[in-house]
Amino acid sequence: MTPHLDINPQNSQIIVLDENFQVISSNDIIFNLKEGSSIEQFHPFFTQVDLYFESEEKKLNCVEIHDKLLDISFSKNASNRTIQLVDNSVFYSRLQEIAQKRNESYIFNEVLELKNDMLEEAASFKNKFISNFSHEMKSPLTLISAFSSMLVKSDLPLEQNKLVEAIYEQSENLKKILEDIIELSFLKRNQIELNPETINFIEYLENFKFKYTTKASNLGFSFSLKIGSQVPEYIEIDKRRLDQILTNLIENAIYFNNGENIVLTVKENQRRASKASLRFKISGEGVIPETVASNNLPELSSDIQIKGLGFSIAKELLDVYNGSLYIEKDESGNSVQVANLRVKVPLNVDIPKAAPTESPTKPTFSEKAKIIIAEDNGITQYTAIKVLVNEKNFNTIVFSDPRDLLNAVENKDYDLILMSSSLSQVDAIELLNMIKEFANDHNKKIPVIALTTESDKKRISEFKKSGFKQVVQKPYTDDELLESVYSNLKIKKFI
Amino acid sequence: MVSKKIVIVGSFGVGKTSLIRRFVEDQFSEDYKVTIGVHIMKKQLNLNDNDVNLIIWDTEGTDDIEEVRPAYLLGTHGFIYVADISRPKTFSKVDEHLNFLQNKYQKTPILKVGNKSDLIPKGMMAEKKDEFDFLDILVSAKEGNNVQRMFERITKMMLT
Repeated sequence: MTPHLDINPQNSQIIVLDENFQVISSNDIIFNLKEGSSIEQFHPFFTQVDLYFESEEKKLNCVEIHDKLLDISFSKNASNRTIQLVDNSVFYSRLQEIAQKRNESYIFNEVLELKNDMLEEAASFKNKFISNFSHEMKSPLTLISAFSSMLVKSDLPLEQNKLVEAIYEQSENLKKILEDIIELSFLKRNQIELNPETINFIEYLENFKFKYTTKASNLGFSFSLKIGSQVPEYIEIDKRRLDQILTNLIENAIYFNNGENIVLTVKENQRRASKASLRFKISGEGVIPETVASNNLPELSSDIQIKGLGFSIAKELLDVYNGSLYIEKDESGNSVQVANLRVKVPLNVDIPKAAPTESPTKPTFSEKAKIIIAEDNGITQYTAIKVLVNEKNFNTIVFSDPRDLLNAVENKDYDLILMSSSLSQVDAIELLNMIKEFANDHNKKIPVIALTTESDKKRISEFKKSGFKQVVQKPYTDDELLESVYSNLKIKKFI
Repeated sequence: MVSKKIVIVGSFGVGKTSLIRRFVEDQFSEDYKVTIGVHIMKKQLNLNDNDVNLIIWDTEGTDDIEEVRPAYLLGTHGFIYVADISRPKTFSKVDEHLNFLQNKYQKTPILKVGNKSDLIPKGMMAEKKDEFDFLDILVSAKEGNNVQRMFERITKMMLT
């Protein structure tokens, strides 16, 4: 900062001092100084005044003395010393104003950056927490879900059966909440893959209607579907994602429904070339709280907000499709969920016919299949053993140490391996490669199924690419595990 | 009575002026007013039955210590280097700045201070102390915590 020195007789004071720094004379333009008074006593700035007469530093700019901003120069000759004070308060005040604005802006930006960093850190912590939390929840939930499912099918007294049914139902609800949390966490991180396919949209909606008509009648109300005449017969969309959007919105309507009927209305807003904008309206008799509609990432503190998860997921998914979701009120004050979705309408439709699906068979084996459970989590071990042993078709052996597992596949023949995503910190893919290398010829060909808490699609795809026949995600039910085992075994061998 | 010149340096907005005002006048203002040039205040401190006249030079905040005018630092007996513990940028160059002062003003003691300790939640103080172990003392001009102690410490350092 080089000051513009505005020296004129009106703003410059000359003070002459003796060798003891007492005032000999002063023109008192700025301050009144008594003749004979000590300059050192006038202001603390002058406490070490002697230094400035001896030093090379003969001038100090912008020194605040008694509310004035001064430039101060020192000089001496053989008999006395002179101090010149120049009042540049006006100039420095202007500089001060500029510096004030600049610094305030810097500090504001710094604080903003810090807040942003903190928010990012919090989001990262939250995602990590969700990931760890869901991972830890999956194994016990698998046990509860699988065992309660097994118990429901057994011959329990009616009262006990009802109790177990309640446990099963709640564990399924818990499973859904867990899946929703994970799903939302993925969506928030934009880790979403879309797999569009051409579907018969009208048929799809009719199936949807069938599903919810059944559910609604069980709950004591009705479900109806209205399809606008312009709605395209075929659309291109990720069917799973469309399922998620509609299911979440209808479940939301069911939860808050107080009346007798829920209506899903589907219309076409507009169509241009091969793109159509579709409108889905879900109406019923009930009011959806604003907390549900406004929460982008609901807190898990109350039941209402947990239900809001579905709405948030639908909203995030619609964002992916450049769509929108909002809640409006009908004439009676009931909530209507409105979703707008942009889809591609294929010009030429060529849909491969779906192969008829076979329901998994559960035959009685004449010879028990030998199944390895490679798992170091006690809960998962116990769940898998119990589910398999209950079938009476399997002999199971558990390994929690990779070395024991490799030793076993080298020396004895087995029929299938159920493997955790890691065993004593050895990754499943690595372990599978070692099995392929060290197992005997028979075991090199047996199916290996991964049992995992992983939700990341890339990771699941890696499992499949590396040679796992199937990936079963936790939490699974007994039926899901058995279906996977039966469908991968060469059944003929055991009948 | 012995007089000692203390120069307070540090980045802008760290609270140098507020610390001096708290010490000299026992006052604090939430309003931020930029200091330009230098502002000098004094206060007498009694340390071990000895009165010391402290001449405290409040300098303009800067990110680069070399920008502080050498004329202001003439005859300095002790430095107080102030950082704002809520703004990492204000202590990101602390080593570089201290090296500069130590090389140029050898044997002049330097006290490293972290201001705005009031912004740390009370329960996290112990945890944060490790994070700021490069500082000699955490203070709060707003609440007055450790401000007197800070001046006593630099005075002790200057007298020994």
